[in-house]
Amino acid sequence: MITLRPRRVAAIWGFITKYLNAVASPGFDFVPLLLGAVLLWDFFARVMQGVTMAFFEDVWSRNFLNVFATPITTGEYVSGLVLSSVFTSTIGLAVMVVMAAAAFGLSFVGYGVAIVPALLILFLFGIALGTWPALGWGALLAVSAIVLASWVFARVFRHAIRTGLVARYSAETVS
Amino acid sequence: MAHSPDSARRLEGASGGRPPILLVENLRKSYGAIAAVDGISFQVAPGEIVGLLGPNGAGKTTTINMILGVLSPTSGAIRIDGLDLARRRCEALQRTNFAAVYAPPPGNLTVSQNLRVFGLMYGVRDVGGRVEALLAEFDLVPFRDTKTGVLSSGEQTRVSLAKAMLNRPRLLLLDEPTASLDPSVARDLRARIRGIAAHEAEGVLWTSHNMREVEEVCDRVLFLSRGRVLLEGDPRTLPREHGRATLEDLFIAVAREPLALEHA
Repeated sequence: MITLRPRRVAAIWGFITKYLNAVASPGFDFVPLLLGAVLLWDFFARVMQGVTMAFFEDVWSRNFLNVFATPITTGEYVSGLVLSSVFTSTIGLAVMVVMAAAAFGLSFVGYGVAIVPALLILFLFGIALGTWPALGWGALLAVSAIVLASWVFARVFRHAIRTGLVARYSAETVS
Repeated sequence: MAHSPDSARRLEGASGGRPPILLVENLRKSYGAIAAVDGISFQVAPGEIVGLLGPNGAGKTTTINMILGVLSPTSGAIRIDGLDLARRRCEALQRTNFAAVYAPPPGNLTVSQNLRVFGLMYGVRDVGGRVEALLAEFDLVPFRDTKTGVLSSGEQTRVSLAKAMLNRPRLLLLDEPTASLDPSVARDLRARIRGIAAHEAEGVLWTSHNMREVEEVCDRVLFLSRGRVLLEGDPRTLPREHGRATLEDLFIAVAREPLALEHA
């Protein structure tokens, strides 16, 4: 399942770029421009969705009571969400890159070393798409965003604990 | 929260000289002007099974949620194995576990995956070995690779109970644990939990609406009504002390005429 959507995205946009290459004026290659952009955008969206989907899995399975009654801390829980997102999105990116390279001739090597900070910035929730000079600011903004998100999460968690939302969000009250 | 010497002596006396596994003092939870739990105090000694009884809305689940650390009290203190839950939450919760019919493990994981995940969350050593032992103990071996969500409610209850035993808790909270079990399995389960409580000196806090079960299992019961402890005592003698024939009659009296019993 982790690789299904990346394969589908790579296939659909791969064929679209091939079609555009066929109908457009010769000399312009859509593969690195369009297919590369779509794959990077999908990777960016996948990182964000990875965190939220892992969180919503616990919401949908009504698992909060079980999770927050364990000795796990808020920091460990949030770290788990981020790590699972990094894991799944990295696999997704790898599958897309391999498939796009094998089937449509897209090579990330063609972007040069700039792809490394670009991917890193996308990893940090796509705060900035830039080259090396922008990495410092991008990383700073991204880290600030992560710290702010963690602070907001901790506040929401404490509010839920104080008002009983975690306790009340169980099958006892929902069903 | 510090305890006075008198308080400490009284508590030790009540638990046969052993420090209590669970100590609840003046616990209160209010939502605006409404007090869901109104200054209750009780304790659970090692090896003791205490029944928390009361009509719907009496404050039983609110109390359990506060002991589980998922609901912060308005005031009061909770100590688990001597650890203040408010200050040493992680250490206190490592000694606690629970099973509730309204909190089944995630249905999209298999039985063994669920036990493994929660074993890791509780920091269980040799989690693989512990999971295998619990699968065998709760007759779950045939369902090892079955998704928990497709099991019958009785089988899911057994998974919840296996999860509750993962970390060999000093304090076990059971919220209507036999609600969806057939009488035969429920009897086996009661015997098993009594055995575990006696051999491993676990304290158990048990809520149930099955009064025969409570008489059979619990060493002591607390009747809650409107967030307060109304009555406390041995479930086998308490009804006669209050002029009722059975524990069920007493329960109905608590539900319908709490003020009469409070002033008796």
